Amino acid sequence: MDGLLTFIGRFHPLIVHLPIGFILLALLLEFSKSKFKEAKKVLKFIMLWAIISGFFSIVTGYFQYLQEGYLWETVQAHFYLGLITLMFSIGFYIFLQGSTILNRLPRTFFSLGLLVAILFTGHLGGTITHGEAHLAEPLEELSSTLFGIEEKENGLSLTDENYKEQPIYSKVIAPILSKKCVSCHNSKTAKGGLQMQTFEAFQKGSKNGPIINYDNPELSELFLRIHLPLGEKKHMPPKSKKQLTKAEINLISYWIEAGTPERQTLGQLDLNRNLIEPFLIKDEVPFYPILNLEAPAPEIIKNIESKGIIISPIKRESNLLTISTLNVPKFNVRQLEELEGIREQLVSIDLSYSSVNDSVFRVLSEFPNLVQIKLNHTQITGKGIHSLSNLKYLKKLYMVETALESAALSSIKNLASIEQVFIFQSDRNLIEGVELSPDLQSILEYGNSILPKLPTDDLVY
Amino acid sequence: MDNLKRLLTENKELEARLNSRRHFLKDCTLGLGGIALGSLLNSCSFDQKKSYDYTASRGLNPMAPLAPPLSPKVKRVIYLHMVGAPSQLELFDYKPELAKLHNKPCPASLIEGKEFAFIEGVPNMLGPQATFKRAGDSGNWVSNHLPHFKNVVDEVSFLKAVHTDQFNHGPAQLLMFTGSARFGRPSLGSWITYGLGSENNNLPGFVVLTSGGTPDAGKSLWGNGFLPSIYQGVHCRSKGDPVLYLKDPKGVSRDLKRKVIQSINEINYKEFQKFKDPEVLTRISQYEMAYRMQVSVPEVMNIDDEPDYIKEMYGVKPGKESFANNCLLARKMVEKGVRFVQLYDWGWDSHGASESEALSKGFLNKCRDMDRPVAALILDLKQRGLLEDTLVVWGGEFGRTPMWENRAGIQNSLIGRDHQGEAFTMWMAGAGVKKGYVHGETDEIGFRGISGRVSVHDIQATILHLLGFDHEQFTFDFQGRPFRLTDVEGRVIHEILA
Repeated sequence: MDGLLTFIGRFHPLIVHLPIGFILLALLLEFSKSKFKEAKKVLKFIMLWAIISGFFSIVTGYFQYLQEGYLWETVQAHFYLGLITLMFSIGFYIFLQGSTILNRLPRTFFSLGLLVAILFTGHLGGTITHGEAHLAEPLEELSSTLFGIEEKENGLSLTDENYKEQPIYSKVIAPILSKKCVSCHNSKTAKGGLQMQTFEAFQKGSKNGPIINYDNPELSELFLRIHLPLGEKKHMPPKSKKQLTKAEINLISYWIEAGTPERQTLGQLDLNRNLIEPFLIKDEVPFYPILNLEAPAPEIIKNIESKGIIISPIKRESNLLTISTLNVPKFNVRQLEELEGIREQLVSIDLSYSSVNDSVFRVLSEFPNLVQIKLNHTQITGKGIHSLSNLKYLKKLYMVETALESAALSSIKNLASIEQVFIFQSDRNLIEGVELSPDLQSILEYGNSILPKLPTDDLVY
Repeated sequence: MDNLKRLLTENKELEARLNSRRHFLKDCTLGLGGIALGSLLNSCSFDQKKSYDYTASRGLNPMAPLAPPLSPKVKRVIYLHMVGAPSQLELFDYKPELAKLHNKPCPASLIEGKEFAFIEGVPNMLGPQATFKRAGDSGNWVSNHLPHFKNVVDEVSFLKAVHTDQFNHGPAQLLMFTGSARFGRPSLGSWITYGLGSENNNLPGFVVLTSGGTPDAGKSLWGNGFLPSIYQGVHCRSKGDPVLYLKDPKGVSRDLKRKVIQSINEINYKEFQKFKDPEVLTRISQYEMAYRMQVSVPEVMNIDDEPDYIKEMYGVKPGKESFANNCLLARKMVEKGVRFVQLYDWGWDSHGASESEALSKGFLNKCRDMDRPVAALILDLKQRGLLEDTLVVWGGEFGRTPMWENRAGIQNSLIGRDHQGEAFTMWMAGAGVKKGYVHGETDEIGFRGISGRVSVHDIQATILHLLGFDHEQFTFDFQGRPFRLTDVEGRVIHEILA
């Protein structure tokens, strides 16, 4: 019986469109009835069908309300307005028949009344199925694109610094649920009898009982449904809706397994950082600084190129330049003077395999915006590294396979924003017997990696 | 008779009308105006960006380095391709459920309507032929066949649900490296050298090293397709002469050679000025490159000068052609500014039809020979700071089935798996890629990707993205339309980007 009611109920969205069409057609005819000879007869015919289809709309609608988990508060207004529409239809029909009582009322009472009633009933019906913001949403989007208003934040504003102090439910879980679940599970539309808009509502569960199983979290309805493959009928959110991301599923799973804590902070829960990482807002610092510099004159670039030096912007149409002397093995420190014209624009220089010596550091310190310096396979010993300390953007320094001496390492920590220094030497271990501060140790990549011999290495199968 | 005359006059009149000055001025002006308007509007349109002209930006040097349109994370690529398709189920994709189904018949519904290269009828399932342990700080699964790889597992981003629509080696390799399963498209390395040029004047920008044998699809895998032929890969041999016919014949001095090449190039240059054919430029620069390579290639291809412990770390086999040697060479080349180094290691086609193809034998030997060099390569690139701007890609052309292959309906005598395009594992490591990360997941038996599925075109799009290209904008006009590596597909796998 239940199944039959549900079946009939599901015809509601189809049938409702019939009275809407009939009534609108009738009204059109009504407002231009003078043009047609037999207007009254046709009008009566249409109204009769409007009444019949209207009646069935209300019946199927009621069944749907009973079967599909809508709340009475949600459908109430729609239901009553539907009844009123039906009354007006019947009234109008009787008026057309020529009833003595009803004919005292003006004809426009019925036509306008019908118009208002059908518009409101239809709108409320739409609100129930598509959500309250259905009409307003595209308008908001439209206005924001028109006036360049930034998209609204999704409520998550966690950063690396503050995330540990945030309560798990309100700052992490709730925003996910409200984005992906609440549009179907709220106080107005509670599909399956489940509401998720508040912590309390969510705890109540669905018409089939609670959705969290505290004894056996992995068997919780919520847990199971978000993990089902997308093709499964019971998978949530439904296939056609916006899906949870992998990170969101992981986090919700963790939350269920932890017993759905509400007010505990992420720090108190000692949450694995990997779980929360995807939700953190990062201020992306670009590798190269954003500098407003003029492009150097084309002759300067041409002149540098003519020496065999590779000169190229960091990306097309950028004024920040990179240089490599890979094809000029005889390149020496004096020739750096030729780069005077791009002193400010130069952000990365590769002098690997060139003939530069230790005076290179002093000269390079005059290029204020250098971010990266490569001196691999050169004869530098590292004397003079300290002069690079006035380079405020210098992040990476490469001195692999050079004559670098361990004594020079200590001046590395004076470099303002250094992130990594590569000092691997294949013929010796530079840090052997050298005391390194932990700060320095985290910056230096000294290598000397080996892969220990394993018995399986020589095994022939 | 009158009728005929009338028709003839009418015809003459019609002809005259079409050829008259009056007709031209009166009727054709609108058409002319339209044509003029077309080009006028075109020149006014501010929206349509003119596509970047790679050839014109380079002048006479077709290999001149150029900056990519977007900020690049990667400057060089080393691509390790295991020819024949290594079994993901014995290396990275741990499936304990599959072990329970070992040697039980495969449910018919699972393979209904599916086509395999060899499997016929109903095969049995084949449990993992390896033991798995979590490795590194990331705790990602690695099999016992790759003990050395465990040391670098925290450097790589796994793609566990790669899929391809090809299940035969040749077409699948072509798809992987040219974006199309048919012949004729430029290869990945060609696109990249076309876009970025080459830094080292004395070495090719795109080098190919093979071990074990030539890949099934042959040289098309490093072919230039319709790009100028200067961008094709240069296949270097790791045994004997690195590049064939590079040495001077006996009695020819280097000076004489220089003079010969100079004169030839002068003649060729005149030819170029006459016809403006870029292939002439290719020819000129190839002659010059070959001349310089006579010195530089033997130098870079010589691994004897490396310290012993480095050689031991890679497990090189001096004087032989081996994957280990090629890995060390790859490092030496990127160190010298080679843009794209492509390694092909042949022999991963573990069907179980012969000993060398058995998961219990030949496959284990392949794993042993691949494991150490790959781990060494990553460690070595890392300690030299090369991993800061080099991308390492590892993969095969497809994966292998969770079923025991039954060629012609009879279970193979040795343990092996058939070709599978639906799901296989690849990984990337190095610049711009997350460390110790896993993207994608397959079902309980490793038959199909259930989340994070990525296609071959997605991988190509991602590599181009890391190098600073939008794969949808990076095109080459050929036969009247722009072509791109990813054809009409591809999505950058942002999930694995650091």
